[in-house]
Amino acid sequence: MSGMVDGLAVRDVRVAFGKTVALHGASLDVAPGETLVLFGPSGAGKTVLLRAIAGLDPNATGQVVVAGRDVSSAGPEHRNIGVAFQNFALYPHMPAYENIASPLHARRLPAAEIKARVERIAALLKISHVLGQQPRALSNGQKQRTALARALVGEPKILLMDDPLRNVDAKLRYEMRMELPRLLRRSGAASIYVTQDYREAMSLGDRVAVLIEGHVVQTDHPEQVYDAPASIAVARLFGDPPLNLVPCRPQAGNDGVRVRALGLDLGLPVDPAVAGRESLLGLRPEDIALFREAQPGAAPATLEVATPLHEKTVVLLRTPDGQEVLASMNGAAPAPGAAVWIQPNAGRALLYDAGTGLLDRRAARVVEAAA
Amino acid sequence: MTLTLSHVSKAYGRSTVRAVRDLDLRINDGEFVALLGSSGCGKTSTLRMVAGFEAVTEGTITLAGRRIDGLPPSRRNVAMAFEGYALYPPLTIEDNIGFGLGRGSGADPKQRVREVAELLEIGPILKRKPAGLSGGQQQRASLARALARAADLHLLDEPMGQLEPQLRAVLRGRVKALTKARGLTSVLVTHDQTEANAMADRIAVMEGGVLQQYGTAAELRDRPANLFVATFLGEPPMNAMPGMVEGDGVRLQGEDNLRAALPGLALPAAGTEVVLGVRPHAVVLGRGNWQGTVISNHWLGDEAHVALDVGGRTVVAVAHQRVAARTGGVVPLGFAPGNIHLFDAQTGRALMHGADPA
Amino acid sequence: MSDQVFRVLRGVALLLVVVFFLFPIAWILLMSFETNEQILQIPPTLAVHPTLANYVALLSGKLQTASGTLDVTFLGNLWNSVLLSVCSVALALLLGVPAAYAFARFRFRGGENIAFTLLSFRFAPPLLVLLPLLLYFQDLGLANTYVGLIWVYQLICLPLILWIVRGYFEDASPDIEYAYRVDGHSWWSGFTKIALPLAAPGIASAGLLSFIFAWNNFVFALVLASADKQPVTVGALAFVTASGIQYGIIAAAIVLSILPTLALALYAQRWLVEGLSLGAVKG
Repeated sequence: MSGMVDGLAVRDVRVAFGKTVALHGASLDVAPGETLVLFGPSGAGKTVLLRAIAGLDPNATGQVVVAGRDVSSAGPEHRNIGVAFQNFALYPHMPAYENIASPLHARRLPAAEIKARVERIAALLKISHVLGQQPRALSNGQKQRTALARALVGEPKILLMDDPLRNVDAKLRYEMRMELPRLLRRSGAASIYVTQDYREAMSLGDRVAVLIEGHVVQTDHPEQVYDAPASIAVARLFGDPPLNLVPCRPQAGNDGVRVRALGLDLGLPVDPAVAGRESLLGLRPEDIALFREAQPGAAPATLEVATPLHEKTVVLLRTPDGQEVLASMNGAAPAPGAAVWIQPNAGRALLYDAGTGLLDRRAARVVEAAA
Repeated sequence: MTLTLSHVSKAYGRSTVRAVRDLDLRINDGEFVALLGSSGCGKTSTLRMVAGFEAVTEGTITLAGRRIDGLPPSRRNVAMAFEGYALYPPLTIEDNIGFGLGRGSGADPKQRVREVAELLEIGPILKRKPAGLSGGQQQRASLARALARAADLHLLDEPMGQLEPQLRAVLRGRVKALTKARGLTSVLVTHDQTEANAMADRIAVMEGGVLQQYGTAAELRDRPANLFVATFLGEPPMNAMPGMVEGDGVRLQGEDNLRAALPGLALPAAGTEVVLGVRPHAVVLGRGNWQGTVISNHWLGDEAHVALDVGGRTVVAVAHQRVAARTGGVVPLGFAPGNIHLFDAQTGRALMHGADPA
Repeated sequence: MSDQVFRVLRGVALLLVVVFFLFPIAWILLMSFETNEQILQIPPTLAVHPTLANYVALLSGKLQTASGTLDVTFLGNLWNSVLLSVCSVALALLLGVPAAYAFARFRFRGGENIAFTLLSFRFAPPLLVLLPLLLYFQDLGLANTYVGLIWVYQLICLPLILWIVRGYFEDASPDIEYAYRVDGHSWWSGFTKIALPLAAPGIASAGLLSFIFAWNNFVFALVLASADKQPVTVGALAFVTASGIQYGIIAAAIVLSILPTLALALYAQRWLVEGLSLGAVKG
């Protein structure tokens, strides 16, 4: 996708503060109308990368191309970008209207046009009734919408959003999660959206770039990241409850390899070349079926703790050989201490190299492109 | 030990506005209770009154059978984990956690510190001082200090806000298990319903200084006392559609005269203005009397979230399998009468739940 | 019951504090309306026969004493005070506010040391630097000039402004300025439209405080200025005459010289308290 005329191209952007490297050469492409979610734990460098793209970090090196124009040495005011900050960063001494109008004032548009555009974006974000209020009089949800309106009103080519839903409550967050994709598609901007919430990443991202310790470790379709995380680190972060990792040593089998795990002999349809290597079998909690009675092909386990999570129940199980396993189930869980039987879905299992922590690509099952 | 708040109110300064209004709450010995609400709902004021950092304007607080609302914090025998950590900077993490231990705590204090530190995964930083540690590490140290102490009551004020989501998920279970194993009576203040659901035996939902409902997670989910509780809890939040009782169903507001048929329920009198609530997990896609246009359809790895436009109303459905519907496609949808809730359109009070016996 | 006892005790304590601080001022005010004879009367009397003679003398510039008529330059002194204080504070704001911004926003080598050195000017007793300064100023031709005095007054004003205003700049999230830049505004525009207005309460209170300190300064002006450049604080010395100390007129002079700062302080009281406490916390 390099050499792309429209959208955003980030080439080898590196940020170091003295000897501390916060970002090791990140490269990304985002097409117009596309939303790339930048996902990672706090301290991974997500905000650092966003600031480098916006031109707010003097320590950044590398290339930033906006709509075919190299803006690497341009100041933030010359990059034609909109930014929504995590803490909203509204101008406290200006009413909501002036906050939103700020990018238009900077372009010295006629007052009538400014008014029309502010009112249009305010209506779209349902904040028309609070335009006259000072930021401190706004609720968190209104503040967040005002900040978003300010980022969008100038119709920027690039839109950067730094975890804008982090500080609003669950209900508002969910409303915005449904509204945002339409708004973003409508704006036509190449968008980067930062979040630590994998569900947000999956519902907002056309693609997801996973950033860990300053490295972009995987860039993929969100479902691909979920189904085949490139490393153990990614797998642990992307999913709640996190992926189970069971030590194993695959043996060559008929149609791929066989692993002995959780007291079961599982056949995995992967390249036999991984046979004999110290590995970790990755199993999503929802891919472990739970039975109250013995079943053929199911192994016994004891239920230790049951925790409700959203509409599901997450249960912590222990196999007779002491392995802890998380499974998630719908409906009521058996009482703690109960004997249960578990059966993993081998077709969805992942195999990681125990040494490098990387997904063995040959072991990864083929994920159909998402519908 | 048992904590009882009775008719507790809080007003700041001379303001007539009550940050907490006429709060009655009883937390049984060994129980883990969460105070849940958004910022400004009164949960933190309540906690501060229990801890003794704020005076009670009206009402009484008793703990372990003695009245404590007039006592200074030091004499209430309450341990607290602070949202702002409140660690002593000159002391190591180990000494911070061990501070005030050893007095009648029975077990070897050092051993107790090590146990709690291990549980919260801060063993490697015990010899370090708070400065230079990350927010998450300091927060865990503060939590460890509160849990290590032998107190009548353990107050936890947003104790995991700074932690990574994954670590938070693991620690929730461990902290709860610890409080149960040691029989600690605990109050958790949080705005995060996942945390409240995962950790608490009972949840007190607060809004505008008023206790909205107090019950187990299942009670709050299946029998929300009012529309606030119904839409505040649950992810995605409950679908809420205004309408009017008519025959054996509800006619929804809107020009399309959409009806929800609710046969077999003991509905309020015809003509009652109501809000019909249905949880996204109870909305069935693919069959039903309604038609919806798909606005968005996201597979989140283990469940699908589908938003639909039904005659101008947004209805969200959650399915456990992928839903093969594209944006713009039209899908039939419906829900079982047993899964609905009706709320008074004016007061928001729950009028009936579909799960009620008819 | 204990609540009521507490309330009464608190009232008594407050009253004591108020009396302690206001008594000297009330006394001065009283003295300014009395003649020297009344003031020096023993035993003192509380009976008041107010006279405006002291004020008339100050404003007319002629003072009648036992040993004849004395020329009073009080109005000239007052004008000097205004000129020196206003110009000093203006210059200090012009230099100090951008410097405070730089210290708050940019980390540069030795930044903290420079900031601390500037503050340390406030620690040193003025007498320590005064004599060498006088010699330099005489050589440079700055002694007994307004420019020279305003320069020296920076030792009073600049550190105060720098440290209070810096706290205010640090309080505002840099993201707010970043947001403004990203909107398409220049750096300068962000500084004037965002950073300055957000720090305005701090700038106002720091300006007010340094104005009061400059106004009340005594020792720099005593040494570095001759009669025609002297502010009121030094000018009041003139009333210590050969024929005795003119207590009444000194009191009246003090009352008149307090008035401008008092008016200013009352006007900006809210900012002042807020500015002091914030500056103290952040500085």
